[in-house]
Amino acid sequence: MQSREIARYIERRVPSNHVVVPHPDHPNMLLGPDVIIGGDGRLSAIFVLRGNDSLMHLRAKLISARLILPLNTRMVLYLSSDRSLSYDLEVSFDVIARARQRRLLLPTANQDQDERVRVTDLIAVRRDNNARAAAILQIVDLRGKEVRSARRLKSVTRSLQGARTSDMGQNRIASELVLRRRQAIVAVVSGTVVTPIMDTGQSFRSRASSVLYAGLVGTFTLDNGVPYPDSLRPHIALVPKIPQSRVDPAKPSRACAFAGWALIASQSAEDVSEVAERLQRFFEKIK
Amino acid sequence: VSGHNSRVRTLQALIASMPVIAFSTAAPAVHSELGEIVKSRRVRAGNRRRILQVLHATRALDTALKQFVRHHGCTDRLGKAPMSLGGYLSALEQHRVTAIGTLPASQRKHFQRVIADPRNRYMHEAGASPVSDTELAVLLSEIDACLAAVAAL
Repeated sequence: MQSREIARYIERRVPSNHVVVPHPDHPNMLLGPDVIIGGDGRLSAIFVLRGNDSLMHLRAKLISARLILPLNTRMVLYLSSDRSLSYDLEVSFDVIARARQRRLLLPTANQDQDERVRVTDLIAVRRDNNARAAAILQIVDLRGKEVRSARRLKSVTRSLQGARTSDMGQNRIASELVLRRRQAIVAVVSGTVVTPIMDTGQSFRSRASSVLYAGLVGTFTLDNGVPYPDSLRPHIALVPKIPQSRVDPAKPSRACAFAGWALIASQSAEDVSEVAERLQRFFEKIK
Repeated sequence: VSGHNSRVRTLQALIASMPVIAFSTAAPAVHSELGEIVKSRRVRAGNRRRILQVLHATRALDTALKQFVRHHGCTDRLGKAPMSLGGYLSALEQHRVTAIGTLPASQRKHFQRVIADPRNRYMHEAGASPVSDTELAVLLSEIDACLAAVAAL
C-alpha cells in the first residue's frame, strides 16, 4: 500500500475529529513518517517499508521523528513485504503491522503495546538536540543569505580535505558519508564534519537526503526507541547558496539544523574553520 | 494536494495530538482558523488576502499558546501569568513546570522577532500588511514552526 492508500484506509475508520495526513510537511523535518494521524490528544506516525527500501533510511527517519514529533507519538511500522529487521530497529517501534494486519495501523489498535520507550531519557535527548538546533540556527541566521559559486565550493572542501584528514577514520558520520555517497568529499575540521551539497538541479530534499541520513545514523544509536547520541557536535554542509522553499523559505536551514547540520555558503577554508570553531564553542555550552 | 494544504493539515494533526488543546473548547476554533489560512488564498486582492492570512494564522497561534500556557500554569520569571503572544513565548522559555520542556532562549528571541513583533505591527498599525507573498510566507512558516515547537515540548 502507498501512503495515500493507507491514509484513505485509516480515514474511513477513525472518528471525524482525527486528522489523517499522507506525506506530512512538518516545519522541522525533511525526513520523517509517510502518514501521520492526530486526534484525541495523540499522534500516530506511520512508516512504510516496501520491498527494496533501505533499512538505513528507515532508521534515520525514525530517529528524526523521535527527536522532533510530540513526545507521546505512537511510532508504527507497516511492512508491505516480508522483511526481517534487526532487533534494535524492531523494538524501537511501538507497533509493527504486517501486510495482513492493517487494523494495527488504526490509532486505537494495540494501545497496550505503546509507550515502551524510556520517556525521561528521550526528554533529555530531545532537549539537547533542540539546544543544538537553536545554536546552529543562530549562526546560520547571523550569516544571512550568502551566495557562493559552486566551483569555489568544491575547491574549498577539497582544500579542507587535503589539509586535515587525520581523524576521518574514527568519525562515524564521515565514514557513513564516504560509504553512502559516491565520490563524497568529506573533511573533518576541528572535529566537525564538513561536506558539500552540490547544486545538481534536483530538489534540495533529494540532494540533502544522503547527508541527513548519514548525520542521523552516524550520531544516534537506537535503544528501545530512544536515539542515544554519541556526541551532539554540530556538522557543516556547504552549499553554493542557502536554499529556500516556496511555502516555508527557511525550512531547508531549519530542518537541517534539527538533524545536526549547519547550512553554510562559504568561500574560504579559513571561514569554514572559523564557523567550525564557533559551532564547537556553542557545543561546549550545551554539553 | 498543494504545499500549503499539506502544511496546514500537518499542523491540524499536531494540534489534534496535543491533549491540552484537543480536549479543550478551543480545539474546533484553532482547527478552523488554520483551515481559513488555505481558504483565504482565494481572495484576489493581494493586500487583503495577506492580512487575512496573517489574522487567521496568528489567532490560531495565540489561542493555542494561551490554552497551553494556562493549562500547564506556565509563568514568567516573576511568576506572572502571561497575557500576550510575547508573554506566552517568555513563559514557555522561563517556566518551571517539570512535566513539559522549555523553549531555548535563542528560539524564543527568534520567534519574538519574526512573529510577535511583525504581528503586532500588522494588527495595530493602520495600513500595515506584508508587502509581498515572500514576506507573508516567512511569517506564516515561522508561526508553523512555533506551533510545531510547542507541540513537541
